[in-house]
Amino acid sequence: MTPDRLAERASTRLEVTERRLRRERLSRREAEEIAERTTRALYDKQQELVLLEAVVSASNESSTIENALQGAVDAVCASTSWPVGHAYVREPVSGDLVPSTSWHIESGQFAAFRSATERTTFSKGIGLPGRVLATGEPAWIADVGEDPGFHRQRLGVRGAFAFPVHADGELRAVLEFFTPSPVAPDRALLAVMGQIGRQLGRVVERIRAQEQIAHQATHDGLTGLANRLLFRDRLELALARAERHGSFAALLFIDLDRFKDVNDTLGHGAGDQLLRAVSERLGKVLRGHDSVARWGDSTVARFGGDEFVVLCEDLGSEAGAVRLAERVQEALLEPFVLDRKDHLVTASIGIVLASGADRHVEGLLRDADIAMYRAKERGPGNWEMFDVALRDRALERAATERALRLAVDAGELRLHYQPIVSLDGGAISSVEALVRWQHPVRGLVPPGEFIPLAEESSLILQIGAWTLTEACEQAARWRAQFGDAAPLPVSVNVSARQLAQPELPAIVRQVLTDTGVRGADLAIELTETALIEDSGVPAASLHALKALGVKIVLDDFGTGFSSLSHLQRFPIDALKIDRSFVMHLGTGDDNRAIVRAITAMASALGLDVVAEGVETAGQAAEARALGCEWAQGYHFARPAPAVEIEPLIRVGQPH
Amino acid sequence: MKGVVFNLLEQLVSRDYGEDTWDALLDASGLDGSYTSLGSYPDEDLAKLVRAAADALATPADDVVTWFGRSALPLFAVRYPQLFTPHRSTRSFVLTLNDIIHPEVRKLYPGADVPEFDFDVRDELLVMGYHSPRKLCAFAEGLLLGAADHFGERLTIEQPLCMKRGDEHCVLEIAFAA
Repeated sequence: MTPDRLAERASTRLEVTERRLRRERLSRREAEEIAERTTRALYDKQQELVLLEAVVSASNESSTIENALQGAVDAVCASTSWPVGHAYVREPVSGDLVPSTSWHIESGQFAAFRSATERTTFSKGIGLPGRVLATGEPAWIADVGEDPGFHRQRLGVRGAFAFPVHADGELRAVLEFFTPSPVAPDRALLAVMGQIGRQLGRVVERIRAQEQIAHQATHDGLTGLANRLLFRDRLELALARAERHGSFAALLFIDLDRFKDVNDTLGHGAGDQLLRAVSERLGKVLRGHDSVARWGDSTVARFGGDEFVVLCEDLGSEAGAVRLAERVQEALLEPFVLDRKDHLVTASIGIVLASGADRHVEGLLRDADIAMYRAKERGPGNWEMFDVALRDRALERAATERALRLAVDAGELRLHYQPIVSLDGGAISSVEALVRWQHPVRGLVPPGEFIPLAEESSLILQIGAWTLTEACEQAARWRAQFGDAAPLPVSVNVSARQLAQPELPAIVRQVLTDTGVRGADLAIELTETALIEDSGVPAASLHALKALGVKIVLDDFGTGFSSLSHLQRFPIDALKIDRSFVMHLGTGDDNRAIVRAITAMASALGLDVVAEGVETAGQAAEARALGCEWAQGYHFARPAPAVEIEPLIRVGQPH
Repeated sequence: MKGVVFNLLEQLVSRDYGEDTWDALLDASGLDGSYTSLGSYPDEDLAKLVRAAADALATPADDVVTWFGRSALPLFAVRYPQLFTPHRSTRSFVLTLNDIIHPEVRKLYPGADVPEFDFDVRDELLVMGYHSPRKLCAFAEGLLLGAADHFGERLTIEQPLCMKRGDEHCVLEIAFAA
């Protein structure tokens, strides 16, 4: 081999070696780059997982949407090392994005940016949040200083990105993040943020569902107002605040007058419509204020039926509470349109002022209720301020009702009988049975003190049944004892509630059978009001009673509607002219025309007429002269136990 | 010290002074010279190479390190453009060292022990504190100069404090030419 060949070979070998070296170096570089990329990708994936996990665990611990957003903002800032994060939330009415309280701020240098943000609302397409709102996609701004679409002052921030949170198909929030340096868009990071947004969306959906359930548990389904549960809670808080501040909380118990009529005549649909309309007007009153008073924090609740309760804090005085009650009544003045017709609605309002923790919730609600009932007693559209006397009265009534209930069972009720006499000769023709309560401590309690009370509850049915039986037993004894001279029929008062019972005729028939009394020896006394309470039942009942031979007497005639149609429609046997007309007979007051008209009409219809409350001989004479055949009153005999009546029967006449 | 630093140094030395020079430096330092970018190697290796280069060029070691930093920066700009594109100035770029650039370095090279910086602005000067037991403030200075080259700016750097002079940390005062 020549030296040239050798040299040539050596140089070739060198070139080959150098090429091999370059190849090796290139493949090493490539391997390193692959390793770097893989490491980097692994790092990103790991960060992504850590971040997702942080968001998931933060949101699982959140019971409110605010907390979930706050957790996500913190997690994203921790993961990206970006110092500023904030959540804009969608305002449901305008659809705009409004700043929230969910912030992550690492140092005071961003305070100015935060306060600028807190003053800024974004509509669709405007600014970074508005851009996300418009596209529904995450967005990145490398440098807000150079972005024409960034509307807030930069105030120390440069790089920015934002992503949306969708729930139930709606964009609910936009989370935005800032860093003081410009940063090039990072697609991978933005993709992760999109994922975070979807995760948050699921959390928001869950929380909204939970909130809805909680809302249903604490609100009235018909009106959306607070229910009793929530109201009690608010009231407790208000009382604690009132105690701390030494201020007043006012409680208004509002009950619509004659709401039942609306339900009965227009149906429950209209009733519900009215309740919703009333709740809206109440809300309007409480939200506004007038020149005299400005209402404090308030809660309006519906307790069911037509009962509304308002809690108002910081009213300052009784006058403020009264002003509020009057504003509520004024707000109801304008007619409600139901079924295309105007309806006038009034409310009775009970007011209680609470000054602090000396009053507890149940007691206050009861006091407001008592005041409301007192207002209702004074007629529709009134208010009443609760005072202790009212409560005492209510408590006394409650005590009386309890005692009366026991009295019926303990046999403390008695029947007294008042003779009804013939004005022609003065002989006792019949008696009216009157119930008395022989109280072991209070003695004889007059009927005026317990019958109205009994009429408010089912107690009147019990008392009525007892009276009926007792009176019939007495009638049977007298029939046996006196034969044709017995002072029968015995009249028994029947209340509206009893009359409304469809089974009344059956009850009466049973009592007659049990006591062996003839129907004709019993008379039922009822008032005109009882007749009009309900249209169907009384007429049928009265005809059924009539069929048993029982006499029907219309009591207190002349004070009610005195309607001729009643006299025609119902099988009436006799009228009792109310004592208010009889009282003035013979004193020159011109009641005589009325009495004469009544007797003339009764005579024409074939009805007997009894003058009630005859206290003097003059009244008796006048009544007789005006056409009354019968009379009842102290002038002849007071109501008395049966044994005291019996001597009068033997004699044949009371005096 | 991450292997990528040695790779960069090899690349720059070979480019500017020839591949043989790199071999000569390795021989002079008594190093075998196999560095892979993700591996970690003794800090002392870099110091040996720098000393060898300083001896060969008869220049101060810090000047070698500064040259290394200034020359390395354009390579970074090619490899990691996303760290540069959002910026229009050296100042803006440099201010992202702690928050963006070094976190990125750690993502690529897990375990990389990067220095800490603090920043202050005083009389038109950007005052940058350098904290690292490696005492490579000269490398930082080189990178700063390289960044200025990249953004087409001129700057001068004073170093009132330096760990190599016994101070607790190094301070670089950077003045940007108007």
